[in-house]
Amino acid sequence: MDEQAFIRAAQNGDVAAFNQIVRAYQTQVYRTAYRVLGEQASAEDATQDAFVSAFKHIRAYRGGSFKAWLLRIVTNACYDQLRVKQRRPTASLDAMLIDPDNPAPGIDHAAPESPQDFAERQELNSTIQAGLATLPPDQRMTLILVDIEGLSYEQVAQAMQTNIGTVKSRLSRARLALRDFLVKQAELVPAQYRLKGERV
Amino acid sequence: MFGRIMPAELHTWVDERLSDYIDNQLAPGERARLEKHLSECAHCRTNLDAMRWSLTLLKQAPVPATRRSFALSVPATAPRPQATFAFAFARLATVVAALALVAVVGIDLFARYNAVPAPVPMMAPMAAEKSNAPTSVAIAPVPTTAPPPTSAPRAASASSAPALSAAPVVPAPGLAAPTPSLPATGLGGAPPSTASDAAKAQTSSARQPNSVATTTPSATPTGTPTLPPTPSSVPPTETPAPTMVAQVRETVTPLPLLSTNENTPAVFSPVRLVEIGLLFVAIFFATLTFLLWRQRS
Repeated sequence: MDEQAFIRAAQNGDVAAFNQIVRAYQTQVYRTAYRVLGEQASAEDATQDAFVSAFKHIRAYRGGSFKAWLLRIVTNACYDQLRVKQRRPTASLDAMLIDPDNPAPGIDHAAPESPQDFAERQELNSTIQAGLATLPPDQRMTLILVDIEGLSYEQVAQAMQTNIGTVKSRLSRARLALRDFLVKQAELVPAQYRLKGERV
Repeated sequence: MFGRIMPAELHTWVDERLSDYIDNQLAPGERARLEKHLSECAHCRTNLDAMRWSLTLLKQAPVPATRRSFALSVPATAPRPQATFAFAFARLATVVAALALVAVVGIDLFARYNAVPAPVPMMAPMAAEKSNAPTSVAIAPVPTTAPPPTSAPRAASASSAPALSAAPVVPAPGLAAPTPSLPATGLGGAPPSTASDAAKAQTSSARQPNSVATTTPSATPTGTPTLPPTPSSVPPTETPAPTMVAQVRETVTPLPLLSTNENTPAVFSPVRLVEIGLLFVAIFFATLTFLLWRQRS
Protein backbone atom coordinates (compact mmCIF):
# COMPACT_ATOMS: atom_id res chain seq x y z
CA MET A 1 0.00 0.00 0.00
CA ASP A 2 1.34 3.39 -0.99
CA GLU A 3 0.49 5.26 2.14
CA GLN A 4 1.40 8.66 0.78
CA ALA A 5 -0.85 8.15 -2.24
CA PHE A 6 -3.77 7.30 0.01
CA ILE A 7 -3.01 10.30 2.18
CA ARG A 8 -2.97 12.63 -0.82
CA ALA A 9 -6.24 11.22 -2.04
CA ALA A 10 -7.77 11.59 1.41
CA GLN A 11 -6.63 15.19 1.50
CA ASN A 12 -8.66 15.70 -1.66
CA GLY A 13 -11.74 14.30 0.08
CA ASP A 14 -11.49 10.66 -1.01
CA VAL A 15 -13.18 8.78 1.81
CA ALA A 16 -12.40 5.37 0.31
CA ALA A 17 -8.69 6.20 0.30
CA PHE A 18 -8.86 7.30 3.90
CA ASN A 19 -10.61 4.08 4.84
CA GLN A 20 -7.60 2.21 3.49
CA ILE A 21 -5.52 4.13 5.99
CA VAL A 22 -8.04 3.28 8.69
CA ARG A 23 -7.77 -0.43 8.02
CA ALA A 24 -3.99 -0.21 8.19
CA TYR A 25 -3.85 1.61 11.51
CA GLN A 26 -7.03 0.67 13.35
CA THR A 27 -5.45 -2.21 15.26
CA GLN A 28 -2.60 -0.07 16.51
CA VAL A 29 -4.88 2.81 17.36
CA TYR A 30 -7.38 0.60 19.17
CA ARG A 31 -4.59 -1.16 21.09
CA THR A 32 -3.20 2.16 22.24
CA ALA A 33 -6.59 3.45 23.26
CA TYR A 34 -7.36 0.20 25.09
CA ARG A 35 -4.12 0.32 27.09
CA VAL A 36 -4.70 3.95 27.99
CA LEU A 37 -8.38 3.68 28.88
CA GLY A 38 -8.49 0.12 30.18
CA GLU A 39 -11.85 -0.84 28.77
CA GLN A 40 -13.20 -1.85 25.38
CA ALA A 41 -16.15 0.51 25.02
CA SER A 42 -14.18 3.64 25.78
CA ALA A 43 -11.34 2.44 23.59
CA GLU A 44 -13.71 1.93 20.64
CA ASP A 45 -15.23 5.38 21.12
CA ALA A 46 -11.82 7.00 21.31
CA THR A 47 -10.66 5.12 18.24
CA GLN A 48 -13.67 6.17 16.19
CA ASP A 49 -13.36 9.77 17.36
CA ALA A 50 -9.69 9.74 16.48
CA PHE A 51 -10.28 8.60 12.90
CA VAL A 52 -13.11 11.06 12.35
CA SER A 53 -10.91 13.86 13.64
CA ALA A 54 -8.02 12.64 11.52
CA PHE A 55 -10.12 12.83 8.37
CA LYS A 56 -11.34 16.32 9.23
CA HIS A 57 -7.80 17.54 9.74
CA ILE A 58 -6.06 15.41 7.12
CA ARG A 59 -5.13 18.55 5.21
CA ALA A 60 -3.11 19.73 8.20
CA TYR A 61 -0.72 16.81 7.72
CA ARG A 62 2.41 18.26 6.15
CA GLY A 63 4.63 15.21 5.95
CA GLY A 64 6.83 13.36 8.38
CA SER A 65 5.73 10.37 10.41
CA PHE A 66 2.06 9.79 9.70
CA LYS A 67 1.94 7.27 12.53
CA ALA A 68 3.13 9.89 15.01
CA TRP A 69 0.67 12.41 13.58
CA LEU A 70 -2.18 9.93 13.91
CA LEU A 71 -1.19 8.86 17.42
CA ARG A 72 -1.18 12.50 18.44
CA ILE A 73 -4.84 12.64 17.49
CA VAL A 74 -5.40 9.36 19.34
CA THR A 75 -3.71 10.83 22.41
CA ASN A 76 -6.08 13.77 22.40
CA ALA A 77 -9.07 11.49 21.89
CA CYS A 78 -7.99 9.33 24.84
CA TYR A 79 -7.55 12.37 27.06
CA ASP A 80 -11.05 13.50 26.08
CA GLN A 81 -12.41 10.10 27.08
CA LEU A 82 -10.56 10.24 30.39
CA ARG A 83 -12.05 13.63 31.12
CA VAL A 84 -15.52 12.32 30.32
CA LYS A 85 -14.97 9.35 32.60
CA GLN A 86 -13.82 11.61 35.40
CA ARG A 87 -16.87 13.83 35.05
CA ARG A 88 -19.35 10.99 34.58
CA PRO A 89 -18.03 7.69 35.93
CA THR A 90 -19.83 4.84 34.23
CA ALA A 91 -19.70 1.09 34.25
CA SER A 92 -19.92 -0.75 31.01
CA LEU A 93 -22.90 -3.09 30.76
CA ASP A 94 -21.24 -4.89 27.90
CA ALA A 95 -18.34 -5.72 30.18
CA MET A 96 -20.71 -7.35 32.62
CA LEU A 97 -22.34 -9.50 29.99
CA ILE A 98 -20.64 -12.59 28.68
CA ASP A 99 -20.76 -12.84 24.96
CA PRO A 100 -20.72 -16.49 24.01
CA ASP A 101 -19.05 -15.61 20.74
CA ASN A 102 -16.40 -13.58 22.50
CA PRO A 103 -16.10 -14.70 26.10
CA ALA A 104 -12.80 -12.90 26.62
CA PRO A 105 -12.90 -9.52 24.97
CA GLY A 106 -9.59 -7.87 24.46
CA ILE A 107 -7.81 -11.09 23.73
CA ASP A 108 -6.61 -12.07 20.33
CA HIS A 109 -8.14 -15.39 19.60
CA ALA A 110 -6.37 -15.87 16.31
CA ALA A 111 -3.45 -17.73 17.92
CA PRO A 112 -4.31 -21.36 18.84
CA GLU A 113 -3.56 -22.04 22.49
CA SER A 114 -4.59 -24.31 25.31
CA PRO A 115 -7.15 -23.23 27.83
CA GLN A 116 -4.43 -22.95 30.44
CA ASP A 117 -2.38 -20.69 28.23
CA PHE A 118 -5.45 -18.71 27.41
CA ALA A 119 -6.24 -18.22 31.11
CA GLU A 120 -2.67 -17.23 31.90
CA ARG A 121 -2.62 -14.70 29.09
CA GLN A 122 -5.88 -13.27 30.32
CA GLU A 123 -4.46 -13.06 33.84
CA LEU A 124 -1.30 -11.39 32.52
CA ASN A 125 -3.37 -8.89 30.60
CA SER A 126 -5.34 -8.02 33.72
CA THR A 127 -2.17 -7.58 35.76
CA ILE A 128 -0.51 -5.40 33.15
CA GLN A 129 -3.64 -3.32 32.81
CA ALA A 130 -3.80 -2.90 36.57
CA GLY A 131 -0.20 -1.75 36.62
CA LEU A 132 -0.84 0.76 33.84
CA ALA A 133 -3.87 2.09 35.71
CA THR A 134 -1.61 3.14 38.60
CA LEU A 135 0.30 5.51 36.34
CA PRO A 136 -0.68 9.12 35.62
CA PRO A 137 -2.13 9.55 32.12
CA ASP A 138 0.96 11.27 30.74
CA GLN A 139 3.34 8.59 31.98
CA ARG A 140 0.98 5.85 30.86
CA MET A 141 0.69 7.29 27.35
CA THR A 142 4.47 7.74 27.10
CA LEU A 143 5.14 4.17 28.21
CA ILE A 144 2.60 2.77 25.75
CA LEU A 145 3.87 4.80 22.80
CA VAL A 146 7.51 3.87 23.42
CA ASP A 147 7.41 0.30 24.69
CA ILE A 148 4.26 -1.02 22.94
CA GLU A 149 3.98 1.07 19.76
CA GLY A 150 7.74 1.41 19.33
CA LEU A 151 7.85 5.14 18.67
CA SER A 152 11.11 7.02 19.05
CA TYR A 153 11.57 9.77 21.59
CA GLU A 154 11.16 12.38 18.86
CA GLN A 155 7.95 10.84 17.59
CA VAL A 156 6.53 10.61 21.08
CA ALA A 157 7.46 14.24 21.70
CA GLN A 158 5.61 15.17 18.51
CA ALA A 159 2.60 13.04 19.37
CA MET A 160 2.33 14.41 22.89
CA GLN A 161 3.35 17.95 21.95
CA THR A 162 6.20 18.11 24.40
CA ASN A 163 9.99 17.98 24.34
CA ILE A 164 12.35 15.02 24.41
CA GLY A 165 13.55 15.77 27.94
CA THR A 166 10.01 15.51 29.25
CA VAL A 167 9.51 12.27 27.33
CA LYS A 168 12.63 10.76 28.94
CA SER A 169 11.57 11.89 32.38
CA ARG A 170 8.04 10.52 32.06
CA LEU A 171 9.29 7.27 30.57
CA SER A 172 11.80 6.71 33.36
CA ARG A 173 9.23 7.29 36.07
CA ALA A 174 6.66 5.12 34.30
CA ARG A 175 9.07 2.21 33.91
CA LEU A 176 10.18 2.42 37.54
CA ALA A 177 6.56 2.51 38.74
CA LEU A 178 5.47 -0.40 36.55
CA ARG A 179 8.50 -2.44 37.64
CA ASP A 180 7.81 -1.83 41.31
CA PHE A 181 4.12 -2.72 40.85
CA LEU A 182 4.80 -5.97 39.04
CA VAL A 183 7.45 -6.96 41.57
CA LYS A 184 5.05 -6.35 44.43
CA GLN A 185 2.22 -8.15 42.60
CA ALA A 186 4.43 -10.96 41.39
CA GLU A 187 2.03 -13.54 42.72
CA LEU A 188 -0.56 -12.28 40.24
CA VAL A 189 1.78 -12.85 37.35
CA PRO A 190 1.44 -16.31 35.79
CA ALA A 191 4.23 -18.63 36.71
CA GLN A 192 5.73 -18.82 33.27
CA TYR A 193 6.02 -15.07 33.19
CA ARG A 194 7.50 -14.48 36.63
CA LEU A 195 10.90 -12.99 37.18
CA LYS A 196 13.59 -15.54 37.65
CA GLY A 197 16.33 -15.03 40.18
CA GLU A 198 16.55 -12.64 43.07
CA ARG A 199 13.58 -10.61 44.21
CA VAL A 200 13.91 -6.83 44.58
CA MET B 1 30.65 14.72 40.00
CA PHE B 2 30.36 11.02 40.58
CA GLY B 3 32.88 11.10 43.43
CA ARG B 4 30.65 13.42 45.38
CA ILE B 5 27.68 11.00 45.36
CA MET B 6 27.26 9.34 48.72
CA PRO B 7 27.08 5.56 48.63
CA ALA B 8 23.49 5.61 49.87
CA GLU B 9 22.50 7.99 47.10
CA LEU B 10 24.40 6.05 44.49
CA HIS B 11 21.73 3.33 44.34
CA THR B 12 19.08 5.99 43.72
CA TRP B 13 21.29 7.66 41.14
CA VAL B 14 21.70 4.36 39.30
CA ASP B 15 18.02 3.44 39.63
CA GLU B 16 16.96 6.75 38.06
CA ARG B 17 19.17 6.11 35.05
CA LEU B 18 18.26 2.51 34.33
CA SER B 19 15.62 3.57 31.78
CA ASP B 20 18.12 5.69 29.83
CA TYR B 21 20.68 2.91 30.13
CA ILE B 22 18.28 0.39 28.61
CA ASP B 23 17.62 2.77 25.69
CA ASN B 24 21.33 3.63 25.32
CA GLN B 25 20.63 7.27 26.06
CA LEU B 26 23.32 7.83 28.70
CA ALA B 27 26.40 9.97 28.20
CA PRO B 28 29.63 7.96 27.96
CA GLY B 29 30.81 9.10 31.38
CA GLU B 30 27.55 8.25 33.10
CA ARG B 31 27.32 4.95 31.30
CA ALA B 32 30.78 3.92 32.41
CA ARG B 33 30.11 4.89 35.98
CA LEU B 34 26.77 3.06 36.00
CA GLU B 35 28.24 -0.13 34.54
CA LYS B 36 31.05 -0.06 37.06
CA HIS B 37 28.54 0.16 39.87
CA LEU B 38 26.40 -2.58 38.40
CA SER B 39 29.40 -4.85 38.35
CA GLU B 40 29.84 -4.22 42.06
CA CYS B 41 26.23 -4.07 43.32
CA ALA B 42 23.92 -7.08 43.09
CA HIS B 43 20.98 -5.04 44.34
CA CYS B 44 21.14 -2.64 41.41
CA ARG B 45 21.66 -5.52 38.98
CA THR B 46 18.43 -7.04 40.25
CA ASN B 47 16.66 -3.74 39.75
CA LEU B 48 17.89 -3.61 36.17
CA ASP B 49 16.75 -7.16 35.51
CA ALA B 50 13.35 -6.45 37.02
CA MET B 51 12.92 -3.43 34.79
CA ARG B 52 13.77 -5.40 31.68
CA TRP B 53 11.41 -8.15 32.80
CA SER B 54 8.51 -5.71 33.27
CA LEU B 55 9.07 -4.24 29.82
CA THR B 56 9.08 -7.71 28.32
CA LEU B 57 5.78 -8.51 29.99
CA LEU B 58 4.35 -5.27 28.73
CA LYS B 59 5.27 -6.18 25.16
CA GLN B 60 4.05 -9.76 25.57
CA ALA B 61 0.69 -8.73 26.95
CA PRO B 62 -2.04 -10.01 24.63
CA VAL B 63 -3.20 -7.63 22.00
CA PRO B 64 -6.82 -6.65 22.61
CA ALA B 65 -8.96 -7.55 19.63
CA THR B 66 -11.50 -5.22 18.12
CA ARG B 67 -14.68 -6.53 16.58
CA ARG B 68 -15.82 -3.41 14.80
CA SER B 69 -14.46 -1.56 11.81
CA PHE B 70 -13.65 2.06 12.20
CA ALA B 71 -13.91 2.95 8.52
CA LEU B 72 -15.78 6.16 7.84
CA SER B 73 -19.13 6.14 6.11
CA VAL B 74 -19.90 8.58 3.32
CA PRO B 75 -22.90 10.29 4.95
CA ALA B 76 -20.64 11.32 7.81
CA THR B 77 -18.59 13.36 5.38
CA ALA B 78 -21.31 14.65 3.05
CA PRO B 79 -22.06 17.91 4.86
CA ARG B 80 -18.43 18.88 4.76
CA PRO B 81 -18.44 20.75 1.39
CA GLN B 82 -21.38 22.96 2.41
CA ALA B 83 -19.83 23.79 5.72
CA THR B 84 -16.60 24.55 3.93
CA PHE B 85 -18.31 26.98 1.52
CA ALA B 86 -20.20 28.78 4.28
CA PHE B 87 -17.09 28.99 6.40
CA ALA B 88 -15.02 30.30 3.50
CA PHE B 89 -17.65 32.89 2.63
CA ALA B 90 -17.99 34.08 6.22
CA ARG B 91 -14.25 34.30 6.60
CA LEU B 92 -13.89 36.26 3.36
CA ALA B 93 -16.70 38.62 4.34
CA THR B 94 -15.05 39.23 7.70
CA VAL B 95 -11.77 40.13 6.06
CA VAL B 96 -13.40 42.41 3.51
CA ALA B 97 -15.48 44.20 6.15
CA ALA B 98 -12.49 44.63 8.40
CA LEU B 99 -10.34 46.02 5.59
CA ALA B 100 -13.11 48.38 4.51
CA LEU B 101 -13.50 49.59 8.08
CA VAL B 102 -9.79 50.22 8.42
CA ALA B 103 -9.72 52.05 5.10
CA VAL B 104 -12.67 54.31 5.96
CA VAL B 105 -11.32 55.10 9.40
CA GLY B 106 -7.89 55.81 7.95
CA ILE B 107 -9.28 58.12 5.30
CA ASP B 108 -11.43 59.90 7.87
CA LEU B 109 -8.52 60.46 10.21
CA PHE B 110 -6.31 61.59 7.35
CA ALA B 111 -8.94 64.08 6.21
CA ARG B 112 -9.41 65.41 9.73
CA TYR B 113 -5.79 66.02 10.43
CA ASN B 114 -5.27 67.66 7.06
CA ALA B 115 -8.41 69.78 7.37
CA VAL B 116 -6.69 72.46 9.52
CA PRO B 117 -6.49 75.38 7.16
CA ALA B 118 -3.36 77.40 6.62
CA PRO B 119 -3.44 81.17 6.78
CA VAL B 120 -4.17 81.22 3.07
CA PRO B 121 -7.91 80.68 3.48
CA MET B 122 -8.17 83.74 5.71
CA MET B 123 -6.44 85.76 3.01
CA ALA B 124 -9.12 84.77 0.55
CA PRO B 125 -11.84 87.09 1.86
CA MET B 126 -9.28 89.80 2.09
CA ALA B 127 -8.35 89.10 -1.47
CA ALA B 128 -12.00 89.31 -2.42
CA GLU B 129 -12.19 92.63 -0.71
CA LYS B 130 -9.03 93.78 -2.30
CA SER B 131 -10.64 93.61 -5.63
CA ASN B 132 -12.94 96.45 -4.55
CA ALA B 133 -10.08 98.72 -3.54
CA PRO B 134 -8.26 100.35 -6.42
CA THR B 135 -4.97 100.28 -4.61
CA SER B 136 -5.23 96.61 -4.05
CA VAL B 137 -5.38 95.70 -7.68
CA ALA B 138 -1.67 95.69 -7.99
CA ILE B 139 -1.41 93.30 -5.11
CA ALA B 140 -3.15 90.02 -5.84
CA PRO B 141 -3.63 87.40 -3.16
CA VAL B 142 -1.53 84.98 -5.18
CA PRO B 143 0.81 87.08 -7.21
CA THR B 144 2.64 85.42 -10.03
CA THR B 145 5.35 88.07 -10.21
CA ALA B 146 7.25 89.63 -7.38
CA PRO B 147 6.77 93.35 -7.14
CA PRO B 148 9.54 95.50 -5.67
CA PRO B 149 10.22 94.30 -2.20
CA THR B 150 10.12 97.67 -0.54
CA SER B 151 6.79 98.63 -1.89
CA ALA B 152 5.15 95.28 -2.05
CA PRO B 153 4.77 94.57 1.57
CA ARG B 154 3.65 98.06 2.26
CA ALA B 155 1.19 97.91 -0.52
CA ALA B 156 -0.02 94.59 0.62
CA SER B 157 -0.34 95.79 4.12
CA ALA B 158 -2.01 98.94 2.94
CA SER B 159 -4.47 97.01 0.91
CA SER B 160 -5.11 94.72 3.73
CA ALA B 161 -5.97 97.58 5.99
CA PRO B 162 -9.15 98.51 4.26
CA ALA B 163 -9.90 94.85 3.85
CA LEU B 164 -9.57 94.34 7.51
CA SER B 165 -11.33 97.43 8.60
CA ALA B 166 -13.80 98.48 5.97
CA ALA B 167 -15.17 95.25 4.63
CA PRO B 168 -16.96 92.68 6.67
CA VAL B 169 -14.95 89.64 7.18
CA VAL B 170 -16.35 86.74 5.25
CA PRO B 171 -15.22 83.47 6.72
CA ALA B 172 -13.81 80.89 4.44
CA PRO B 173 -15.90 77.83 3.72
CA GLY B 174 -15.98 75.58 6.65
CA LEU B 175 -14.88 78.26 9.00
CA ALA B 176 -16.94 79.77 11.70
CA ALA B 177 -17.55 83.45 12.17
CA PRO B 178 -14.53 85.41 13.03
CA THR B 179 -13.68 86.14 16.58
CA PRO B 180 -15.20 89.04 18.38
CA SER B 181 -11.89 90.78 18.16
CA LEU B 182 -12.65 91.44 14.52
CA PRO B 183 -15.68 93.73 14.34
CA ALA B 184 -17.49 93.62 11.08
CA THR B 185 -17.71 97.34 10.59
CA GLY B 186 -15.73 100.38 11.43
CA LEU B 187 -12.18 100.82 11.68
CA GLY B 188 -11.70 98.31 14.42
CA GLY B 189 -10.00 95.37 13.04
CA ALA B 190 -7.82 93.11 15.09
CA PRO B 191 -6.08 94.70 18.02
CA PRO B 192 -2.41 95.12 17.52
CA SER B 193 -0.23 92.54 18.94
CA THR B 194 2.29 95.06 20.16
CA ALA B 195 2.36 98.74 20.89
CA SER B 196 4.96 99.25 18.22
CA ASP B 197 2.68 97.70 15.71
CA ALA B 198 -0.04 100.06 16.74
CA ALA B 199 2.27 102.99 16.26
CA LYS B 200 3.32 101.72 12.88
CA ALA B 201 -0.25 101.20 11.93
CA GLN B 202 -1.13 104.73 12.78
CA THR B 203 1.80 106.03 10.85
CA SER B 204 1.09 103.96 7.80
CA SER B 205 -2.56 104.82 7.87
CA ALA B 206 -1.67 108.49 7.95
CA ARG B 207 0.62 108.10 4.97
CA GLN B 208 -1.60 106.04 2.72
CA PRO B 209 -4.35 108.06 1.11
CA ASN B 210 -6.50 104.99 0.72
CA SER B 211 -6.18 103.86 4.19
CA VAL B 212 -9.27 104.64 6.11
CA ALA B 213 -8.32 103.52 9.51
CA THR B 214 -6.45 106.54 10.67
CA THR B 215 -7.78 105.90 14.11
CA THR B 216 -7.45 102.21 13.94
CA PRO B 217 -4.43 101.01 15.74
CA SER B 218 -4.74 97.66 14.14
CA ALA B 219 -4.63 98.86 10.57
CA THR B 220 -1.79 98.92 8.11
CA PRO B 221 1.06 97.48 9.89
CA THR B 222 3.81 97.67 7.38
CA GLY B 223 3.44 101.14 5.80
CA THR B 224 6.19 102.69 7.84
CA PRO B 225 9.62 103.07 6.47
CA THR B 226 10.99 101.64 9.67
CA LEU B 227 9.88 98.20 8.73
CA PRO B 228 12.56 96.12 7.18
CA PRO B 229 12.06 95.45 3.50
CA THR B 230 10.74 92.11 2.57
CA PRO B 231 13.29 89.97 0.86
CA SER B 232 12.80 90.00 -2.85
CA SER B 233 12.90 86.27 -3.12
CA VAL B 234 9.81 85.91 -1.04
CA PRO B 235 6.43 86.69 -2.55
CA PRO B 236 4.72 89.42 -0.65
CA THR B 237 1.60 87.47 0.10
CA GLU B 238 3.58 84.64 1.48
CA THR B 239 5.62 86.88 3.78
CA PRO B 240 3.35 89.44 5.27
CA ALA B 241 4.69 92.00 7.67
CA PRO B 242 5.05 90.97 11.27
CA THR B 243 2.03 92.85 12.41
CA MET B 244 0.07 91.43 9.54
CA VAL B 245 1.31 88.03 10.50
CA ALA B 246 0.31 88.68 14.07
CA GLN B 247 -3.13 89.75 12.97
CA VAL B 248 -3.43 86.81 10.69
CA ARG B 249 -2.23 84.54 13.41
CA GLU B 250 -4.72 86.03 15.79
CA THR B 251 -7.41 85.40 13.29
CA VAL B 252 -5.94 82.09 12.25
CA THR B 253 -5.46 80.79 15.74
CA PRO B 254 -9.05 79.85 16.18
CA LEU B 255 -9.00 78.04 12.87
CA PRO B 256 -8.19 74.67 14.31
CA LEU B 257 -11.28 75.00 16.36
CA LEU B 258 -13.17 76.36 13.47
CA SER B 259 -12.06 73.59 11.22
CA THR B 260 -14.59 71.21 12.62
CA ASN B 261 -18.07 71.37 11.29
CA GLU B 262 -19.92 72.52 14.31
CA ASN B 263 -23.23 72.51 12.50
CA THR B 264 -23.27 68.69 12.32
CA PRO B 265 -22.50 66.53 15.36
CA ALA B 266 -19.46 64.34 14.71
CA VAL B 267 -21.20 61.16 15.75
CA PHE B 268 -23.84 61.39 13.09
CA SER B 269 -21.73 62.46 10.18
CA PRO B 270 -22.11 60.27 7.09
CA VAL B 271 -18.58 58.99 7.40
CA ARG B 272 -19.15 58.05 11.00
CA LEU B 273 -22.31 56.20 10.11
CA VAL B 274 -20.39 54.25 7.50
CA GLU B 275 -17.74 53.39 10.05
CA ILE B 276 -20.29 52.18 12.55
CA GLY B 277 -22.06 50.16 9.88
CA LEU B 278 -18.85 48.50 8.74
CA LEU B 279 -17.97 47.74 12.36
CA PHE B 280 -21.23 45.93 12.93
CA VAL B 281 -20.87 44.02 9.67
CA ALA B 282 -17.35 42.96 10.58
CA ILE B 283 -18.46 41.82 14.04
CA PHE B 284 -21.38 39.89 12.57
CA PHE B 285 -19.30 37.98 10.05
CA ALA B 286 -16.52 37.39 12.56
CA THR B 287 -19.01 35.82 14.93
CA LEU B 288 -20.47 33.74 12.13
CA THR B 289 -17.00 32.59 11.11
CA PHE B 290 -16.21 31.54 14.66
CA LEU B 291 -19.45 29.59 15.00
CA LEU B 292 -18.90 27.80 11.70
CA TRP B 293 -15.31 27.01 12.67
CA ARG B 294 -16.47 25.46 15.93
CA GLN B 295 -19.07 23.49 14.05
CA ARG B 296 -16.42 22.16 11.69
CA SER B 297 -14.02 21.25 14.41
